[in-house]
Amino acid sequence: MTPDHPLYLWMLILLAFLATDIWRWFGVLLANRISPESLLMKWINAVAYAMVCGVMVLVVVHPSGLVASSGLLARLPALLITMVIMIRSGQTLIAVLAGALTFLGLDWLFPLT
Amino acid sequence: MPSDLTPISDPRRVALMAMRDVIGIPGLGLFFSMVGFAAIAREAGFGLAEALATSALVWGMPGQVAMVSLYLAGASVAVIVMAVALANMRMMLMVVSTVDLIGFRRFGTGLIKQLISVHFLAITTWIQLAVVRGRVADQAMFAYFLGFALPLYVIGLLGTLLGFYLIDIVPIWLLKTIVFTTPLYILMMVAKIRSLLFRQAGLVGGVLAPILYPVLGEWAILVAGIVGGSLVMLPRFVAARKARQRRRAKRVRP
Repeated sequence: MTPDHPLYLWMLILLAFLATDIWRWFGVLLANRISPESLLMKWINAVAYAMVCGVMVLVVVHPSGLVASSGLLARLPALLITMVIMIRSGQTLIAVLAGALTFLGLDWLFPLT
Repeated sequence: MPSDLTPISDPRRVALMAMRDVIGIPGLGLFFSMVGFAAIAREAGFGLAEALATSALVWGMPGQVAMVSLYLAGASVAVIVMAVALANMRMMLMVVSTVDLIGFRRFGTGLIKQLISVHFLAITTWIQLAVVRGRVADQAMFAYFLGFALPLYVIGLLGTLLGFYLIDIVPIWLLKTIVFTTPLYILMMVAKIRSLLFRQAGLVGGVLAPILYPVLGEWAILVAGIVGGSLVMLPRFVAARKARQRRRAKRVRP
């Protein structure tokens, strides 16, 4: 199928669906074979947390998409302020809002272009 | 501390609580992420139906963004599908963790029901389940999952739908800021979970990924995850090994 075929994009969407859900299905099959109390289950969880935090920090440091049109000078201080407020107060909402406002202000002060 | 209270076990109350929890940063962040996705999808030449189908069927932001941007760049089918598969590989571990959190195995949930349920899993839902664990009774975790994941799915599809048109109205600085709150929110949620071990794993992974990224590119996520997770587990693996050796030594003696 060539890219100008009318159904090309739909085939691509279907393949992307399979390429994603196959991992979810593997996950279900795997989870049903691992004892919840085992060290292997703990390890898989630990890897999942490390991976997700890796993905999220990468959005801050090397973003793609919309956020890429902002500077590191806006993104990094925003993360630091969020962390500091979170450690000091434990209030997720306030910490994240403060981080967002920091990002907004710094992105306005130091635009990327 | 909410964790000191007896966990809520009434499924209907739990589902309502989950729906309330969606409203706020989780729902808002996901809605605008999908608005952002719709914007780049439209730019890449997707119609509304195609963009909606992508959100509904793939339901995982990194994979969706990879797919649309590679399509725009004119990449081959094989390259696009491989990139989507790589970006969403972490889903497998999140699903294992979620199945464990919900207790599908313990409560004997049927395989088909499990396979369908996990399609609706997003990072936001997974981390939410980890945070409410203990506040919600084990047998009501599935009700919480449904009450959180399904409204979030609807919100995501609405975001894709409206994003197609909103992108001309909402100023880019606002959109960008709201999209940026998602990583902040997820990271702070990880900081809130009760398990010290998993918080440490998150910290190591979060530090390693940006260090490895310039060398490994997208693979940095996988490597940071495996190295980070293994590193924090090392003391436990060593302890388990020692315990095994002690048991073996005892068995030999008499």
